[in-house]
This record gives sequence, structure tokens and C-alpha cells, in this order.
Amino acid sequence: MKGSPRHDPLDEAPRDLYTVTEISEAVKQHLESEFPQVSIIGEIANYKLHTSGHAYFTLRDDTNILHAVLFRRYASALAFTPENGMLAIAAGRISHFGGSGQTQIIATDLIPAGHGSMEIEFRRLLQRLMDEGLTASERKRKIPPYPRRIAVITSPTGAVIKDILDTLARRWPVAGVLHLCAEVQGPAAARSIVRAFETANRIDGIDTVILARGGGNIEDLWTFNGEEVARAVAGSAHPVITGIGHEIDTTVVDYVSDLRAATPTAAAELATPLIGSVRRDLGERERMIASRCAASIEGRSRLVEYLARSAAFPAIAHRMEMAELGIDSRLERLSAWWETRRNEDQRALASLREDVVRSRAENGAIRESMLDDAAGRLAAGSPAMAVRLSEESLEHLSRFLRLRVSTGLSLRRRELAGKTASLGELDPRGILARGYAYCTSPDGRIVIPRVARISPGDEMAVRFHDGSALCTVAEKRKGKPWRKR
Amino acid sequence: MAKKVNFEEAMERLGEIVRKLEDGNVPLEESMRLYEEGMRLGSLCRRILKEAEQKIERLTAEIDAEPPAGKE
Repeated sequence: MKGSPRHDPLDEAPRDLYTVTEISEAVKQHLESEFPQVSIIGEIANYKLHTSGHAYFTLRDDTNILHAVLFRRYASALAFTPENGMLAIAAGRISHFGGSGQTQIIATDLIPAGHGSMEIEFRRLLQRLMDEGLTASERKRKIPPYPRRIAVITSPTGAVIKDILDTLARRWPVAGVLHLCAEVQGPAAARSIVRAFETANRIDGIDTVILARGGGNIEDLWTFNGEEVARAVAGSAHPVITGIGHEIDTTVVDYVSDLRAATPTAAAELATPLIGSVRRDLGERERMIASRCAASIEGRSRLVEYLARSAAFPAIAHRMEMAELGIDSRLERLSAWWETRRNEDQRALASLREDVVRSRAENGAIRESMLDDAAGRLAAGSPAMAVRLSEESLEHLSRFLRLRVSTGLSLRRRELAGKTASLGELDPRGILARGYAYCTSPDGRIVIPRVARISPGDEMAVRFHDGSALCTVAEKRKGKPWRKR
Repeated sequence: MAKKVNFEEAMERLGEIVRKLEDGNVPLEESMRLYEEGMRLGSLCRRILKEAEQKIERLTAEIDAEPPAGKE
């Protein structure tokens, strides 16, 4: 360049002469060194998210606009969705893009200003609390269903405390109310609420804490999006119900409380049962218990009666059958009959008498003296038999007296005694005619009253009302009736 | 609070007694015992409901005692 002839005539001029590119570059360098890191507040306009992932928009105020670009890696990291008209703060460097001749901000971050910034703050705090597990559902405590003492943290003035007290008094006057007055708005509110919680934590016997504040704009409710208050709620010694603002308002404390109510009044409702329905519920439980107990006793008497009648208990069924024949008159007649026929088939009669006396004893309606009387009469016939009879009868009697006492079953003895029966039915042969039979030795001389007396292979005679059969014992079993399958 | 049965425990126990009796298979003596217990708890609950009368305490002093800075 030195000695170039062209330089001389242009010596003055070239200092001010730039090509477009030269000046664009110069401006770019100048701006970037002058404004390497600035934050610019303005309203977002013409926001476009390009397919490349870069976002282009302008920031504007009343009179000026500034082009802005947010490269992909920053655009994708935004904590909110920018919208036109939103007031925002763009952070980055000012630069100049020669290709379009535009001065612009190359932003590395974009955050909402005004309400939007609160939104961001809200999300960041909520995320932090979530990460700590303070919003987890398994951390939520059960709200006591029948509180005796409720602490209410809210302003001493205004409609909220009045609404809450009215609601509590109407629904559940059983609970005492401890009103912990706190500021719920303004710079002192957070501290005031935290202190109210500290006070409540020191008091035993608080079942539920209600934290409430009436509706307002988002700035008014901001206290309840603060970390300090959120941590006080999360750390409360007692279960907390939050009722902040209106239905649509959800604050951070709503996420960390044990139960969120839409409004202060709703919080008071969720904290308490309705006394009327508790009374009904209580009455219902008492009635259920009383009726179940009555049913249980009644059911037992029915069961006893049922068993007594059941064919599954032949002895008892037999007892009932005998009872229906009219036990008293029968014994009387039987005794007379006995007197006249004592010599006639004594062994068979003895066996039948056992049956009769057993049924009497089982009936439970007989008095011991009557049994003694009967036994006495029988003894006249056969002393040895009488002894055996008495022992067995006594055993039966006591067993059934015990049964009777324990079940409270009362037989309709008088009713039964009134019934008459024909002598024919009372005749032991009549009994045989109804399907009974008895066993004797093959020669008919010895009655076999129990299974212990026989062995498989033995012969014995079975006496029916109309004849007898000579049988061989194939098998025997003690106790339960034997059924061949 | 552990000193005696509170309202909630009483109501829960009443429900439990109802369920037990509903199930059946409760021996007679046991059901009489449950009945007595149920009636005792029932009257305890009734007494609590009857005495119901909202008592309101207000605590402000302690909180106001230390006015925070920057009070409006």
C-alpha cells in the first residue's frame, strides 16, 4: 500500500468512508463491547418459534421496538411460554445483524415480568418443595373427623374469621376455637403467620389448624406463595387445612398443607362433621348393637328349638315325640299297666321303660321326685333293673337339666300335658308298632340294651311288633348311628 | 389425650362392635359384654354432644409482641 498513488487524493476522505459491510461490522463490534450483558424490559410482540428451534420476537414499549432472538438452547429452557403482549425481561447482549440491518438483542434468557415473574417464582419454589417431598400425598395427615379444638390462623378483622366461626358453630359446636390472629397481607404477613404456627405447635390438644385468607388479587395472596409460610405449614405439629382466596386460587401452601379447601368457609366445613348427622350415626350404631344382640339371643333360642326338632338328633326328636303323647298321663297309665303285666315279658318291658324314662328325663319337664317315684315303682318289679335304670336316668336327667338351663329352652309342658293319648299308644307294643324294635339273646330271654354286649358274629333276636328275626351281627360301632354305604 | 377414650375412638369402637355383631359367631356372653360396652360408649358420645357449646379463645398478644420490621 505504501506509495500507492490512489491514497493520496483520498487521504482525507477514506477515514469516513465505509462499505456497508465494514460499517455493519464496526457497529456490531461497538455494540457488543458496549452492551455485552443487559436486561431489557418490554412487551413481547411478534413472537415466532422457528422450526429451527430459535425464537424470534420484538420487545416494545410505547414508542420503540427492539428485535430479539433467543437461540434454540435458550428457547427450549424457558420456564414459561412467551405470549404476545406479555411483559418480559430479556437478558443478553446487544448486537447488530448486517444481513437485515437490524440492531437486536441476542437473548440468553427471557423471564416474565409482573404477574409472569411471580408465576416463575411460584413454580421454582413449588418444584423445590416437591423435590424435598413436602407435597407428597403420603405425607398428608388425616383430618380428625370429630375435632375438639380447632386453631384458626387468619386476620382478626374482616369477614373471613366471622364466616369461619359461624360455619364451625353451625356444623360442630363441639369444637372449641382458638383464633390465632395473624396478618395475612403485606410485608409483615409471612412472619406473622409463621409465628402463629409456632404458637400453635406449642399447644397440645389442637386437632386441626385452619389457615385462611379471603379473596384478593394475586399480589394480595402472594404471602401464601412464600417459602417461609410454606415451610411453616409443612412443619406444623397439627394437621393443616388451607382455605386461601377463591375457588380458582391455588397457592404454594395449598400444596404442602394436609388438605386444601377452595375457600375459608370450605375449610371450616372440611374441618368438621355436621352435628346432626353425627347424632344420627351414633343413634344408628347404638340401634344396630342393641338389635344385633337381641337377634343373637333370639337366634340362639331358635337354634336350640330347631336342633331339638331336627331329625339329626334322634334322641331329641324322640323326646319331642314322646312329649307330645302327654307324658304325665302316660306315666300314670304305664305304671298301672306295669302293675298288671309285670310278669309278662319283663325283660322287654325293662328296655322300653328305659326308653320311656329317658324321654321323660330328656324332656326336662319332669321333677326329680316324680322320677324317684317312677324308679320306686319299677324297683318293685326288678331291683337290679331299677338300680341300673336310676343311674342311667339320673345321668340323662342331669345332662338335660344342664342343657335346659344353659339354653333357656322352656318346653310347653302344660300344653303338652293337656293332650291325651290312647292307651294303645302307650302300650310298649304300640311303640313297637310305630317302628321300634328291640334286641334279645337268640332265646329271647336276655334283652340287649347296648352295643357293648354284642360282638361281630354273635347271634341275636330282633323283636318287632309283629314278630321276630334271628340275626347275626356283621359289624358294630359305638356312638353314631351306623349306615352302610 | 391418651387418658381416656375420646369421641373419635368411641365412634370407631362403636363401628367395630357393630361389625363384630354383624359377622355373627359372637358367643352369647361376648355379645352381652359388647352390648354393655356399646351402650356405655354411646352415652359418653351423647354427653359430649350435649355439652357442645362453641368456646372461642383469641390469641394475639404473643404474635404482636414482636412486630416485624417493615410493618406498613
